[in-house]
Parts: sequence; C-alpha cells; structure tokens
Amino acid sequence: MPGQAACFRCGSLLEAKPGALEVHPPRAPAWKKPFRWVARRMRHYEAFRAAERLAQGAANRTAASPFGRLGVPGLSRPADKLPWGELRLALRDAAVALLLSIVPGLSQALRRQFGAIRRYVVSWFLSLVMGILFFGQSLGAASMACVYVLHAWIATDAVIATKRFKQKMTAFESISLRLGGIALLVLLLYAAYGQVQRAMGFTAGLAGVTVPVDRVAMGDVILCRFLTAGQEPLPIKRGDLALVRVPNVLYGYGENGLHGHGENALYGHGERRAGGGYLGETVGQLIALPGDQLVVTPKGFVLNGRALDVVKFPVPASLNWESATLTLGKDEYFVTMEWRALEEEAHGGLGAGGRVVTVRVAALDCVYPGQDVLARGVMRWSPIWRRGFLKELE
Amino acid sequence: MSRFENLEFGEAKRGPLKPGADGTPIRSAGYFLEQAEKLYLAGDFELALRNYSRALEQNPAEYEGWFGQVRMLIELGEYEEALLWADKALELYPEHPDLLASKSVASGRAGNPEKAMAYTDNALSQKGGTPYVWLARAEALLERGSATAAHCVSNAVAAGNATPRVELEAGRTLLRAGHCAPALQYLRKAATLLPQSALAWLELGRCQAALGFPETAMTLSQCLTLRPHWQPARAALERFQRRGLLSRVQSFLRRPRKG
Repeated sequence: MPGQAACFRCGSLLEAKPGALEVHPPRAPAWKKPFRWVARRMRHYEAFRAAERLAQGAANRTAASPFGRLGVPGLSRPADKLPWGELRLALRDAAVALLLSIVPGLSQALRRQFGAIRRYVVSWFLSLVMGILFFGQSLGAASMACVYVLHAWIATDAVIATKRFKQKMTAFESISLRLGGIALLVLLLYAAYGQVQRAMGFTAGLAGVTVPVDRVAMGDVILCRFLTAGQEPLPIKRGDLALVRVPNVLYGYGENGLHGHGENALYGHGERRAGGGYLGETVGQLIALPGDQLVVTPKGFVLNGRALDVVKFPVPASLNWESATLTLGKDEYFVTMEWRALEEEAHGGLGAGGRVVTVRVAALDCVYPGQDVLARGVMRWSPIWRRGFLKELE
Repeated sequence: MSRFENLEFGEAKRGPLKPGADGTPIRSAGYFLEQAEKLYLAGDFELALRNYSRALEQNPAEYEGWFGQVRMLIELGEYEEALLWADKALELYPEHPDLLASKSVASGRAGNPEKAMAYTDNALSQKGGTPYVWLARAEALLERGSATAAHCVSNAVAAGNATPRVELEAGRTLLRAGHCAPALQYLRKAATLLPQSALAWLELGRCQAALGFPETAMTLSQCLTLRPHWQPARAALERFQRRGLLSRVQSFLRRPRKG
C-alpha cells in the first residue's frame, strides 16, 4: 500500500509524521509507587475491589449528577447529560421521601427496605424509650439527642436511597448530603420534638424540697403539667408541687444596705430586687396562694390563722429558727424549697457585713409571681421504684 | 586517481560523510531499538525505555518502539502508565494482539485478574498468536492457578521458534508465579544461549536460590561480573548467603523429584 498513511484494513500507521505524535510515555512519580504497591496488595481482598468499583462508578456518574446539573459550586463538576425532566423526578422522589420520613422508617417500609428499618428504626425506637424512661435526667437527654440524630439519619437515608437520586449521586455528594442534612435536620427535630412535648403539656423538674407524705425527696424527678400562662388564679392547690422559675435576686441588708454582690446593691433593710435573669427551674411545694396571710414559725406554717400539718407542709431549714409574717399580694405564690433556703444559709445566715439574715428576708425568697410558676407536679418519675402519682394534700 | 576527481558537482559531494563510513554507529530507529534490546537483556529497564523513546523519535511508526515502551513500563512497575501508553499505541495499531496482551499483563500485575483475563481473551481472538500473547495468557492463568498455564508457555516457546529471548520470558513468567522447577529449564537454556545477558543470569540465580541449589552463588556472581554493583543481583546473592534453616527446608521441598 505505497503512499497510504494508514492501513485501509486495520488502520495501522504506515507513514511517519515526525512531531505529530508524543512518543515519551508518562511516568509514575516516585512518591506514588508505595501507595500503588499497597493498593495492589489490597486488591486481593474483595472489599477493596468493591470500594474501587464504587469509586469508579461514582466517578462515572459525576457527569450525570443532580448536583452537577444544578451547578452547586465546589460540590461537583457541571454535567450536561441529565435532562431537567429526570432531575425533577429525582428531586420529587427525594422530597416525598423526606416528607414520609416524618414518621421514621415509613419511607423505607414503603420501599420494602426492611434491613434499614431493622438497623435504624429499632435503634431510634429504643433511644426514644430510653429518653422517655429517663425523662428529665442527663441519660434521658443523651437518649433524646440520639433520637434526634437517628431520626435525621433515617430521613437522609430515605432521601439518598431513592432510586433516581441514588443512581445519579457520587459518593462525595452522598456524604455531603448526609452530613449537611443531619446537621440541619437535628436542629429542626430539636424544635419539633420540643413543640410536641409542649403540645402534650408535660415537662419535668428536679425536686428542691422533701415532702415525706408524698414520698418525694430532694433530687427526685417530678413530671409536671404546664399551667396555662396568664390564667389567674392558677389552677393549682396548696400542698401541690410546683415547677417554678427561680429569679436571680439581690438583697440589701442593714442601714447601708451594702451586699457582697457589689457596691451597686444599695437597698433598704430586708429589701430585694431582681438581679436580672433566672437561676434555673426547680420543683418546690406551694404553701400559700395569692391573698393568703402566712405566719412562718419554727413549728410549722400558720395559714390564715390555721396551723398546717407539718408532715404535709414541712418547713425548710432556713425558715425554722425564727418567726415571720407575710401577706401575699395579688398574683403572688409562696413556694418552699430547701436548696434555695440553704443557699441563703450558705451566705452564712448572715448578710454581708455580719448582719443577721432574718426569716422574713429568707421567706421573701419563697414568694414567686404567677408568671414564674410554670407547671404543677403530677407524678414522681424518678427514681423508678418510687414512681407514682402525687396526692392532693388539700 | 581518476581524472574526474577534481570536477565540481555541487555541495552534495562535499557534504558530511555517509553514516557509518567513519565508524560511528548509525543513529537510526533500528540502532536505538537494538540498544534498547541490549539494555533490556542487561536488566536496565529505565535506559531501555529511553532508547525505545529515542527510536520512536526517529520513526514514530516503529511498532517495536511502542511495544517496547509498554513492556518497559510494566517491568518498571508502572502499570497504570503502561495501560495508558498501550491505549495510545492501540490508537496507532488497533487491536494489535501484543498490545492487548501487554494490557493483560499490566492489569494482572496491578491486581485486576478479571481485566487481565478479558484482555488476554481479546488478544487471543486476534489473528496470529505471538509468543507474548501466549505468555500473557499463561500469566493470567497462573494467577488463577490454572493447570493449562504450562500448555500456554509451551505454545509461546513454539510460536517463538524456541529463541533464547522467548525462553527467557517463559522462564521469567513461570518464576514470577512461583513455579520454580519448570522455570529452571527455560532459564538455564536462556542463560546458555544468552551468556552476555545479566538479566538471564539474575533470573536463573533467583530460580536456583528459590530451589536452594548450591550453584546459585556462582550464577549470581556471573551476573555481577557482567553487570557489577547491580543492586538486585547483590541483594539476591546476600539473601541467598544469609538464608536460614527454614528457608533451606522450603527450598528443598520446592525441588523437582526424580521420576
């Protein structure tokens, strides 16, 4: 075939074209060789080969990726193979899966992915049970955190596992979607679960008082039912346990009224004012309602001229060494709690400057406005062996 | 002296001497291919690769240059580059069985036995089973532990008319797979027929060392005589001299039995 540049049968090159061809082969960098050696060894294992196939498949799919088609910067290179119609269908499937995943595992159940349900939904359910069982405690909070994360995982899994989406996504996109989705969904779920709890009307708090007749000791978890905000008077009775929000207050003692909280705390004798913010929430025992006249004595409370049973209405330690008389104003509630009284004692039972803290001052600490009385205790929740409904003492 | 000696015929007459006339070698593609082959037999794959490249600089249509480059890349352990370069060569020589066979060898050594088998199937389906195609097939089968590999090696030797080069390659293929005893006969023959090849002596020495033959030291010394300070030969010799009891027992068990 003289004169031909290539064989007309097989296409082999017959004529030299100097300069038209690169004749120097590419060379492997020296640093790559050890890694390649390891990869060659690892290829003896099926798992490694499967991972390689996955990576290769992901690389092939990159061009047809929904994210690539959307042109998400930095996530994948743009693609031009995926028609918009197909992308729309993939996104629709993903949106439906996300909606269905409000009920964990429903999306997977409809797609008959029972393996995923076994792994994730059962874990989610067990975490939820643990969260409820230890409601109001650290373990319960940790379990609920697991619930949020698992629910978010199940939701992202439902989206990723949709057939159209899965076929088009690269491994990197899958991981990015998983991590980003979980972060976002955990926040949403935290708010959503909070709303559910609020709608159910239950909360929990740690008891700051010991009430022997109700078998309540300090530190017990009390399940409480929220009171309707703004209702006056509140639907709560004397002797009930109440979850109160404890304000941060400053006290002034003595003529100069100087207190250790700072020189700016200049008040008259026995006065107090809000120090700003709240110290936290705790469960105390409600002793008196708005308008009641209360006498605090070491032997017990005298309410509207009637002595209260000291077993049902115990006097906190800080109030049982002197007498004081209080008349509660409108929307004021008298709620006792040991820790609050003890805190006063921790101040030495003495005000700053060595002045004695009077019972009246300590008792003022027990007076809460209606807005700070959040919920009424209904049940001993923890420890488990003392679990039971609370009695009505009045 | 001719009477036409002083006549002027233009610049051509006074141009450079014809190549080879003054004893200098002709720097043609053929020359570089020959050099590359010599360097390969000496075990200097890096320099052999350069010579194949220079041959292609002279004549890019030189098939031996492309094939040699791919082979040298495989010898240097650069399998991904070898596959890439084989693909480039296949653009020039489509469906060439040797290039497909080289892709099979590169894939197999890179740890992809399935691909290796697929390429060797393709290579065998082409016209003309060259020795290299049969050896690539043998290597793929040896990887799988197939008993028909020996038959492929025999086919390769037959296809290559039992040239020393093919004997050497056959021996190397078998030795690589750990089949020392069958490799020994090929390598002995190769070393006998290619006494100036350091590579042949090295491979023979390695084979003998694996079998625990006492003449290993002499074989490897011969190799070092041909190519002094060659690191692989020195390492093999040192390893043989320092081998322990367990290694000696293993070598003994590998030896072929009479009958």
